[in-house]
Amino acid sequence: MYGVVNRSLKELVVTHHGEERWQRVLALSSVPGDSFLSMQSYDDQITYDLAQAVAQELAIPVDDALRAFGVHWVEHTMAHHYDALARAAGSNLLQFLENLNALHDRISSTFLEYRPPRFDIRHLSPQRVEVLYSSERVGLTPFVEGLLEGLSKRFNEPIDIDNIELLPSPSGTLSRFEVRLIEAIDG
Amino acid sequence: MASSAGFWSELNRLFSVVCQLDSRGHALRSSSLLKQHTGLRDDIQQSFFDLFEFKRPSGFDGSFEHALKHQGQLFLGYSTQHGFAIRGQLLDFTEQGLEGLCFVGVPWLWWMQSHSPSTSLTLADFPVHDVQMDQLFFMTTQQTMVEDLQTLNAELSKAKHDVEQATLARQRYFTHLSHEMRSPLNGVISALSLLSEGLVVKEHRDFLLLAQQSAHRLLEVVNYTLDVATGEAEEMQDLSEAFSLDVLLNDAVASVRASALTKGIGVQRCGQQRFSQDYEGHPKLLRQVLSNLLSNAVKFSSGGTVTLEAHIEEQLSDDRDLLYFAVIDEGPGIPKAVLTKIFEPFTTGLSEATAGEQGTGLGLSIVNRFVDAMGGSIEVESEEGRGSIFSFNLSLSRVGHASDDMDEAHRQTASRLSGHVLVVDDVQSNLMLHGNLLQSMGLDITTAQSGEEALLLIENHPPNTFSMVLLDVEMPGVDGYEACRRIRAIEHAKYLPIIALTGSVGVRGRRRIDAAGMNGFVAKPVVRKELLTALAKWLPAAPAESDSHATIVETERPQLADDATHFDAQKVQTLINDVGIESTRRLVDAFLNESASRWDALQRSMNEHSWDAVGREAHTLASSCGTFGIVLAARLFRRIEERAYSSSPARLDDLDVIAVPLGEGNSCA
Repeated sequence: MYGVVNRSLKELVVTHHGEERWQRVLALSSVPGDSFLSMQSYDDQITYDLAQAVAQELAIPVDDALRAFGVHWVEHTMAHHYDALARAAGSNLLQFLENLNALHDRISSTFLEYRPPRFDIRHLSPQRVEVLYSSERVGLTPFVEGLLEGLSKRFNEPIDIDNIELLPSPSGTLSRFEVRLIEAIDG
Repeated sequence: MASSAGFWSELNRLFSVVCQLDSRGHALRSSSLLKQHTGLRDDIQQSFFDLFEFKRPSGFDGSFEHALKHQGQLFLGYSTQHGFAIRGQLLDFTEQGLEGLCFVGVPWLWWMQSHSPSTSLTLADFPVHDVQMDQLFFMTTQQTMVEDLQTLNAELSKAKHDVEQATLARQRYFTHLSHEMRSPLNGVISALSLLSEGLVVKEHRDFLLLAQQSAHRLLEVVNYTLDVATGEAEEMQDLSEAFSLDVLLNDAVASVRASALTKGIGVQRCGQQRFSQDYEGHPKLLRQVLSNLLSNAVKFSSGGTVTLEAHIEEQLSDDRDLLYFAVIDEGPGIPKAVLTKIFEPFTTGLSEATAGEQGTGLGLSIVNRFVDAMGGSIEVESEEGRGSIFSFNLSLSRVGHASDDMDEAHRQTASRLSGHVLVVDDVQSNLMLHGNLLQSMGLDITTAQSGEEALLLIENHPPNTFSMVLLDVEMPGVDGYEACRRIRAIEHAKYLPIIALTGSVGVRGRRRIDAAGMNGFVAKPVVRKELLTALAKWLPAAPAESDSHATIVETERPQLADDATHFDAQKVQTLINDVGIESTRRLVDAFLNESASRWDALQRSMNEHSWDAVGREAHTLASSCGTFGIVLAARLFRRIEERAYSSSPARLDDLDVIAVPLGEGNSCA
């Protein structure tokens, strides 16, 4: 994964728990250093080890740590570093999700080692969509759940994720989310 | 032909900015994006080119007639009013069924990014073949990379600064530690040396020899530890000097001959027996390496012969040889398991058979580091029960002809010299002390209390008046380094030998001395033997030498009170031995008078926050107290000096307690 992912994970811990705890995370993970360059590709295992160590240090399940990371990614990393692109990807949750593959396609033309996930959106009803997430990576379904929560906050469109289902996949991950759009109270 | 409606749809799939123009340049129909952002309507004819200001084509005046001349070229247009910009070209699609000309293109993303970032565009507004959105992502990531690198740069700068500060603190600490550890050890060694000269009972001499050897060994451990800590050996690579390899090899063999003899072990030199030229290199390191290897060989052997081999392996150039050195023993050999780590600190090749021998386990580590520092690489071959061979090659430059062994011997034994020495020191008691020492060696002296005075004396005296200058480096005004540089500028003193008197004998101190153009140094507090050795390199022995030095040593040897924590009586005893008791009394008087005024000056400087002056006065007081064995006061003044020279001098509360050791120094004197 690109270094920006690891930097974001560091930012999450430092922002909410302080530099000292991040250093403990780093020590627990046995990752030799944290000077990640955003657009340099690093071994996926580094990110997995860091996420595992964050969970251990904060005494929470790994899935919870990944979920929090997903929210942080949207709220901070995307908003700070890629806001223009995020705005181009859509001005509401559904539009954003539907444009996500196109966005990833464009990024792939510049970043040759980029191996993005795929999001297929199916409208089940006016207030209900199915998000089918597929990736060659495993174990990141909770991170995607966090992303959806983060996007919900970004567009101020409350959602409920009614069902998360891991589907059989010959390699990597195939997960199905059922997302219910809730009418905003003030909307 | 496809219907014009079909082709119009195809154009709108390929481009998001499309406008069909009539023969006057008015919009007939437009793409939805264009309408959305410019207000164009199909039912109202508007001039397309009036909607935008055009940056390109160059020189385009905005008229339709002129636009026709630029068909196929890139048009870059913007509308500040609408916060919208386009890029594209004017093309003729009449063959495809579209009348007139068409403008086809996309939004001009960069203009809007910088002039109208609030204009809402989505990915769908850019056809997939358009790379502007890709470029936007690329530019965004480049900006992120720049931020990353700026952050890393700041982190690295801070880390570098922290390391430099830590290194500085470590150097200060080890400089201090070096002084604190070596001083008492030197005291022990000096005391043992004096005792050995005075005693005649053989059994006592044996005990003394043992004590001397142990003290020297302890000094070796201390030196090694401080050397490793400060990386001194590595820095020594830059400091080379000419030396006689023959003398060095003979010395090395001689250093172990006695101990070998007691164990019935033979020691011999083989290979080249005489080297016709001197070499330039690092004799101190080489001597240490060979001595360590030979002494190890003797220590761990119980019989046979220890051989030091040295020969020219290869003549590398007209003035450079590759020399081979080896120490070969017939001892018990080194177990294979130990052989791989034999050069690591605190590792010995001790087997059960040799367990009775004890070593610090530092000798071979020192050897390894020193050979490395000299540009060589130590190797070992060993077989249990058959002995060991330690060998290495060194590339050394030849310089001049080999020194005459007789000259060397003469220099080593001469105790009275001939010549006129100009002694320069700002401390009166030091001047007296050094003057007395020089006079005891048979030398004439002239004294100067500052660099400026020394310069005047040299300038105003005929050439060759002075045979040598003994120059304190730490003086107010023109210090020793500057004085030396100015002396070198005087025509008749260009080659006058100048020896530095310094308390800083580390590599950096020596570099400064070299850089200033001095010929050598003597460490303070000055020890007679070291001063004599340094002077003998430059001054001839007195014509009719007699051991008159012995007569200076008066028989009266008062018993001195000795509280080792406050007062080192041995220092004063050494002074008495060196210059006699009367001279010592005069020296102590001068010291007490001068220290009182310097103490006042120090306090004054403190009140004025003149920290450089505080440091200078404290340095002088520390040095003087050290000379007279007032240990505690010397230590406290040294601390004051360190704090004064630090970037933010802390409160100097220690000053309150200095009066006590000074007072005790008084009573002892």
